[in-house]
Amino acid sequence: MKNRLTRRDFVIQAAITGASFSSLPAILAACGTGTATPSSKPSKLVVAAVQGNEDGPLKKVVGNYKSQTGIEVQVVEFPYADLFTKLVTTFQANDSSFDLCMMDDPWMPKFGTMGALQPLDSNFGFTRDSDIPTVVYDVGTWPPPHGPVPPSEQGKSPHLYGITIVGNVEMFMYRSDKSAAPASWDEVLSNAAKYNAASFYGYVIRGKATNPVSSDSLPILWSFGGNIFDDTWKVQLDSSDSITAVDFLTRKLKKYAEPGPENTDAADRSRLMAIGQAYQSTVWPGEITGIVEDPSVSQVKGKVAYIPIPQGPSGKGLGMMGNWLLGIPKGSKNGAAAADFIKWMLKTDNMRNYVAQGGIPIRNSILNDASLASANPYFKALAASFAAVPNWRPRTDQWGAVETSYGTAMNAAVAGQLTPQAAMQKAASEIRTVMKNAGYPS
Amino acid sequence: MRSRQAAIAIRLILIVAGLGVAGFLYAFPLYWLIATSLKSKAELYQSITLFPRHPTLQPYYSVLFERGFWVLLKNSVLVCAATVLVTLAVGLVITYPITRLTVPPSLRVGVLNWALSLRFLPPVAVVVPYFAIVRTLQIYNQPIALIGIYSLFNLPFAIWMLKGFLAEIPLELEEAALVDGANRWTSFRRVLLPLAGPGLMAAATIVFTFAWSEFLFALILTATPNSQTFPVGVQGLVTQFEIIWNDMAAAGVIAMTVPLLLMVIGRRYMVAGLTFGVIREK
Repeated sequence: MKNRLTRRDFVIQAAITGASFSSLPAILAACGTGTATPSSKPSKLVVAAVQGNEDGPLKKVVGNYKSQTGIEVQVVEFPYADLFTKLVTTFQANDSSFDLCMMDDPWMPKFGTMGALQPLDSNFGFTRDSDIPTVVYDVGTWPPPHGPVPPSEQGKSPHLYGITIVGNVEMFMYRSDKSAAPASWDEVLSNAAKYNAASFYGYVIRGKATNPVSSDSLPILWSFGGNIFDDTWKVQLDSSDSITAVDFLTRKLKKYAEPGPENTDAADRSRLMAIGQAYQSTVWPGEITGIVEDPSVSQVKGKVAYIPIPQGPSGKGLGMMGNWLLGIPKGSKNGAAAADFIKWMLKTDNMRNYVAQGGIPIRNSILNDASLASANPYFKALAASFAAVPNWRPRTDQWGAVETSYGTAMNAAVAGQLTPQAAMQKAASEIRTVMKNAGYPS
Repeated sequence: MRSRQAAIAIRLILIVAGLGVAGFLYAFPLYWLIATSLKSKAELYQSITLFPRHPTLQPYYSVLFERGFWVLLKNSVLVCAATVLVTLAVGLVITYPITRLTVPPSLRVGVLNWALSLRFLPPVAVVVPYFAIVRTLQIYNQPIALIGIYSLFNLPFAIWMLKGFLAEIPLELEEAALVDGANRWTSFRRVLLPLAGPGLMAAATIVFTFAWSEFLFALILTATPNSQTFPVGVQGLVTQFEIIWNDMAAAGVIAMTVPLLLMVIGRRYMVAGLTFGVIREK
């Protein structure tokens, strides 16, 4: 029994084995490849993208880039709600997982304030192109070149950090086989009343809490003269104009809306339009290309028209920017190659090919190209919306918290749980606290 | 006599009806999932139908190849298999001494209670510190990060199940091997392990299944398809403007099939694994 282990020996060896397993991750990590070293011409660029109609065309054109340059572009998709969190996490860690990132334009203040992106103008020589609307460059610039600037960002020199690749601007759609285009929100209401019928809704409210209802209601709020902030960051949600706008949406239009509008999101709205059960609503270009004008699913192709947001009592019809931009994270070790890819995407010929794959362009020459109008019936309205200079959501790094308060209160108003006045007072109070705590004038 | 028979018949009918309703409630969502996975996008935009009008496997092709989920499927299998190996290995290292050697009862109870406490720990309490550790070790977005945390969280199951199995194997068998000249390692490998096979199989099946369906850590600790697991991909089918129901249903069927097959193969061991040692404390 010379080789027999004693119990003491066995326990000691078991402890050593256990410790070995505990350190296994560290050992394997040390043996791993680690992060890539910088390279002038990488073999691959990794793009963090939003999953859906917004990144679908991008995925279709990256093959062309590889055939022309030899560089593979890997598009890594995340759902809308997760992409922002994933990017923040990546930026905070200065991680090099992504060479490019798609960003919804309201995220620019957060990323700009964090210093998370590489400047495209000073680092990579990007200049403004006269064929691309000025507002497209403005929305990718931080600090914002006009409008109120967050206190912490005042005095900093603006730089371009993102270029739009999805020219989303919120517009309006209606059944053009039934009526002429509404010129004002009053006409929207009268048409809603006129065409509302059993299983055919006069208006579709995208009323799901937070981002959906916020996006749906802000163009109405602005067109009625309301706002979230004034030019000095003073909260305006409980002003009479704002409350009138909310009352219009959540009481007057709601009479002709689909059942349960407080749970309706864009997918439900597009479906109702596509199956011919709705008359009108606001709309994003992504819904048009992916659903309403998709002949494989839509029963109303050719029966829907698209116009800029109708005018409100303020005399203006203000659409909302929802551009998706491409930026280069500071952690990327392939900044120059990533910038080359953005420049490639912006070339007119490449953008035409991108449009052929369902992409939403930003070049005026493409938006106003008559040969593309029949296949893309919303181009004219989109060009007009860009020309009218749509509003962007307030350029504050606190936008996430602001949208949560506003979108939650709006949802309660749509559901009928709060009166328009109570909802806006609640949202205004919460937002004042958030902004005050973040150092903004309250 | 007749009334008693009638009462029995009524009771039988009620039981069968109750079981039928329960069966329907259980099976219908599964049927709906499979039926939806066989519908085209165009069909989903038409009126809702109980049966697919034009059944198609396109959603499966879309999920696995067009969306590239087969890579995530491969990652899931890799991560879960590695988790099973690590968990069982560590589980055996911990369980063997407390079941086969003379250790103070307080140590045995302490180890078992510690293992149990791990299971009661809500994952959300660990996610932030673990994320920090992962970043420090530079294993963010690598499968090893998931294998580590999955092994930790599944260790209690393995310990408690293996404890029951090992305790059932007579000590005399090992002692006979030792008397015949085998050392402790040989007797463990040649005598104990083969006898503990069913227990290991049961523990492996459960650990694999739990790791397979984990979502929170997979979402936070991964960034690209290099390490993302299948559940992370599935949730991406709810997009901002569209819920891709048929693809999501196809992904659900695929996600369900792997652990289901494993359960079918290992169900005999699992029942034993879940009941062994629950009556008797050795």
